[in-house]
Amino acid sequence: WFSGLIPEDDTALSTTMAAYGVPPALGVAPEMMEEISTGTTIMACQYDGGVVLGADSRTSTGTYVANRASDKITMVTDNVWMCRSGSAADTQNVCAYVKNLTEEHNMQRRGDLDPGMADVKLVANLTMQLAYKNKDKLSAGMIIGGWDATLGAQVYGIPLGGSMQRVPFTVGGSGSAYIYGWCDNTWRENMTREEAEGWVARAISLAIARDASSGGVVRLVTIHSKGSSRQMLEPKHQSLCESELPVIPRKVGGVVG
Amino acid sequence: YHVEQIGMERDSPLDVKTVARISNQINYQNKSANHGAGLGAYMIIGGWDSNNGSQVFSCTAGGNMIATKWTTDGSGSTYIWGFMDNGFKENMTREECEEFVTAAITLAMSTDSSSGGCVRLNTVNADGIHRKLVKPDELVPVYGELATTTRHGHVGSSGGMML
Repeated sequence: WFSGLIPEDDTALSTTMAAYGVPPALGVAPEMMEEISTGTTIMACQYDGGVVLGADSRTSTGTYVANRASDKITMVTDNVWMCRSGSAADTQNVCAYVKNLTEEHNMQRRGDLDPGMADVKLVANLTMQLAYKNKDKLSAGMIIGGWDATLGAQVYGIPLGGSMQRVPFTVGGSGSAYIYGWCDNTWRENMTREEAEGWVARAISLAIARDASSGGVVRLVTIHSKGSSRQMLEPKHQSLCESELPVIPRKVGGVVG
Repeated sequence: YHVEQIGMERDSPLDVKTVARISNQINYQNKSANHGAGLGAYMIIGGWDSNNGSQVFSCTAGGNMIATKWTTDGSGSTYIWGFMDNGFKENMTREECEEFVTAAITLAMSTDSSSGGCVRLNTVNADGIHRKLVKPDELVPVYGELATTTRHGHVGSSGGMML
């Protein structure tokens, strides 16, 4: 099926097809197209009784936004979720491996006790082992957050390189640089659930305002002893930063004039 | 040098915008210096003049100059864009503004390895330039930082050796 696709003459199309196997897309030369990456802002924090995980929703391929509503917070088990940043392919596959390994481990060791739940530390350790042992191949920064009966609310940061550290809160991704100062300044131990969700949402909004690779909606996942719940905050609900332009509402079915 | 020359010709202190423009033109006209990397002299010009009051100009990479209400620059600035976006308010008092700037620089010093030491503030208003030094032990401690050590007994007289 492939043989008819590469033209015989010496055009840009034929050169590109021969070299890369794909046609030049979107008016951009293939060498400019980067691997799909979640240039991103992710974070997680402990509050009094649980954890809140937050992320933006932009997946970029170079300057093109491949997905403006992506979900970077993935469920590993009912009570443990993972925030993903870095290469989209790497993190999706690491997460799939971790889910599988956790289920196997629990089948053998926990039996019928709390099906669908896992120790947060187990998930974090499995992720860390995968990240460390494949550190030369992977470009994946992850944050594991969850609640279990053994140690309660926990957040583990697993950045590039495969180290693991339990922390009260952490930020990750390209947009995180812009909010280190703000998070250090406003963090408090033992916030309530509403305070923690508001804090995380505000931090992600500030990062989206300054980082070109972060954008879209703010997604939050809250995990506590009774379960987990997801939220999406659309851009117009995020509080504006200085000199930020407001979102122009669109008339349904009409043309914005 | 240029500011003094033009100041002599004009017989009055220069506008903030003029000083910023001089700095900006030096950057822009020497874009080819350092094998195309430019001069690398990125400055924030801030001041007060009788024509336009208080102004801030950021003269950034490539010879760009914009009038802004506030700005930050340097390696440590990436960590405080979010903090300053959140905390900047119009029409702050002098004390509020000095506290805001000191807090921002303290946070940046804590995260950036290339920033540290003390905080020097220059407040410019109609009365002139007021310089202030904030030493490390006077700074508000940042989350996760170790406390600065307090020395007991006589500082300096025994060269630090205590029994």
